[in-house]
Amino acid sequence: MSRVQSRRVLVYLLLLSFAGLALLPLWSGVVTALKSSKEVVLSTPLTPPMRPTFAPLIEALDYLKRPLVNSLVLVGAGTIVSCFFGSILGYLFSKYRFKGSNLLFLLVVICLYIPPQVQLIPMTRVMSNVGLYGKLGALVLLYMFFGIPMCTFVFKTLYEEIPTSYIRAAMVDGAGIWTTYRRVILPLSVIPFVIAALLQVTIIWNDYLWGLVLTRGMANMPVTVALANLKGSFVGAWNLQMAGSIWVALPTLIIFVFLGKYIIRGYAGI
Amino acid sequence: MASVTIRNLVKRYGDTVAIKGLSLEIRDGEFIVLVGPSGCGKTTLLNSIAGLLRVEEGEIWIGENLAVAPEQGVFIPPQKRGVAMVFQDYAIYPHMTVFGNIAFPLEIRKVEKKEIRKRVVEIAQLLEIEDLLGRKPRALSGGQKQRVALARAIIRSPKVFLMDEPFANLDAKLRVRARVEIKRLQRELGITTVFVTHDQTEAMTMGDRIAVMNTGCIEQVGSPTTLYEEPRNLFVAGFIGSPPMNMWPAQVKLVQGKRMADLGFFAIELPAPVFEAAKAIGAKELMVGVRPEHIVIHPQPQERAFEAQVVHIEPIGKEFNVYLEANGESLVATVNSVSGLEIGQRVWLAFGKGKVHFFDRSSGKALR
Repeated sequence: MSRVQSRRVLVYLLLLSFAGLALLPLWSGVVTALKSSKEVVLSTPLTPPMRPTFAPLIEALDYLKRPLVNSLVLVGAGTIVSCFFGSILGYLFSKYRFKGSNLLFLLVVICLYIPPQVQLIPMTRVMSNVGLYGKLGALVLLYMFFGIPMCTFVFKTLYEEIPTSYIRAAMVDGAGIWTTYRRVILPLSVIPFVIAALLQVTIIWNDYLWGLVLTRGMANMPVTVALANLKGSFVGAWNLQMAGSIWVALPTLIIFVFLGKYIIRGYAGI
Repeated sequence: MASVTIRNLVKRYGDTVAIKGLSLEIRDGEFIVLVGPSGCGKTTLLNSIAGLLRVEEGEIWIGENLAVAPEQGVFIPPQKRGVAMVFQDYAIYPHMTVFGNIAFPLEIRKVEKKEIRKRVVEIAQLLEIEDLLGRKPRALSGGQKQRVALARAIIRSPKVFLMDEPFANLDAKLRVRARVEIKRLQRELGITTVFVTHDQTEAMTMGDRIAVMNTGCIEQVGSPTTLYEEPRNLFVAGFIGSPPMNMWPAQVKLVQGKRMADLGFFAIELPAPVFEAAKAIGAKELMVGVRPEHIVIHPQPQERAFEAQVVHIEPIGKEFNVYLEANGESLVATVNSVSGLEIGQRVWLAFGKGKVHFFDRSSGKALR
């Protein structure tokens, strides 16, 4: 019995050390963000600050406040629009099968797997043709449309759990497609909306590539791109960079801690 | 209230034909049961009447209105047919209260709020669920859910009531009560009702008439008594009745100048009309069927009886099912008393006079 117990202790020690290792970057980030520039140079990235200061956090926030607002706008617009269309498309694909609807849905799903690298140049051309290149509007438009396939997929999968007899009952009771959607499906969509919105929020918030390619200037940049600019041109301002990272990571961190189970459901497609 | 007329209906799913040129006349105010094994097309037929499915050929009339006629491009959508439906899983909307569920069909039709309130309370009283109006469906039992589903169907006074196995999710005791209640309700309201079930007991107890379906066709339509006493073919004979009719293959033979059906271990004299009917279609191979309650068990050897052995005795309340074996064939008899009967005992069986059914083996048609 004692052998079993000692083995158990060993396992827990091992797990604890892995957990510690995984948390090391976060620890390093937090302590560095609380150091002055001088202390950053003089101490190792892991030593706690001798004289903790909030100056880097305040400075980083001041620098990032416009991009943070930009990212919020992107997340808001992208999430609301793609969830709305995703919900309607998911409803039609799951409850109103028509000739070729499976093929059409397959095409929608394929959109999820087109790598962004392939689309960079054509998309840049399109945006400059419509006169949005370099502006925040380019990203707003992009995320609105790019989120639709993913949202459609999430909504369709979850709507398939709603018994078709609800739809049929509503039809016989006199409701058309849209009344059925509004009165029956939409009120039952809280969880699909939470899941799809969370996925959209994290994807848009964390995206770097499209912001880098399609926007110009602080006024248009999403926060991820602005964060990369924080690293400084000549000297590595590590404390600022870490402070900025904390601000950027905070919203998604909070979401994952409190609503992580919904995100897992979304990825698992159940 | 309306009659429903179905003419030469055909429904295909790809290459498989679910309904094969089916015709049926449902009278105004009638309670008709569609019964048959699973996959026979009964639910497909019901959904076609409701308008939840589109058929390929044929016509459906609801009262004076042509609802479906694909050849003429006619398809009235379900909400304009004046039909109401009760589903197997009740399809009660989980996010609405009982009141909201019952009121839904009226709200959709933009009926005045005060009028809705009045009618919902009326219907709830009729179904004795007025105490439940404020509840959410998840707080209801199966039987209560079923009443809510019924109430929602009744509230807009439909011309035709369609029910798709509404008792499937009820336990045995509730099912018997629900049967009585639905029959009472239907009689009071006089609404033409089409009721789908795979359970022949349910069909027998509820239907004014029963349509027995099999592989997309109607085998026979008639009152429960007609189906039971005069099945038109082997399928109906075997499907209606529990325990099912005993059947044996037999051959037409002439024994001592008499026309007999030879079962191998026993021979029955063929009634003249049966013989004529068999002769008319050239049937030599027959099936002979006897209902369990028309087998008489004698403890002593008898004239016109054959020997058998008791295998098992099953009490079913006031009667007993006696399982027997004769010449390697098993059969069942239903009797009122089993006093003096023991398992393993040798007995002699006779068939009730005029209670034997004869069928042509190749076509399955009844000969009478």
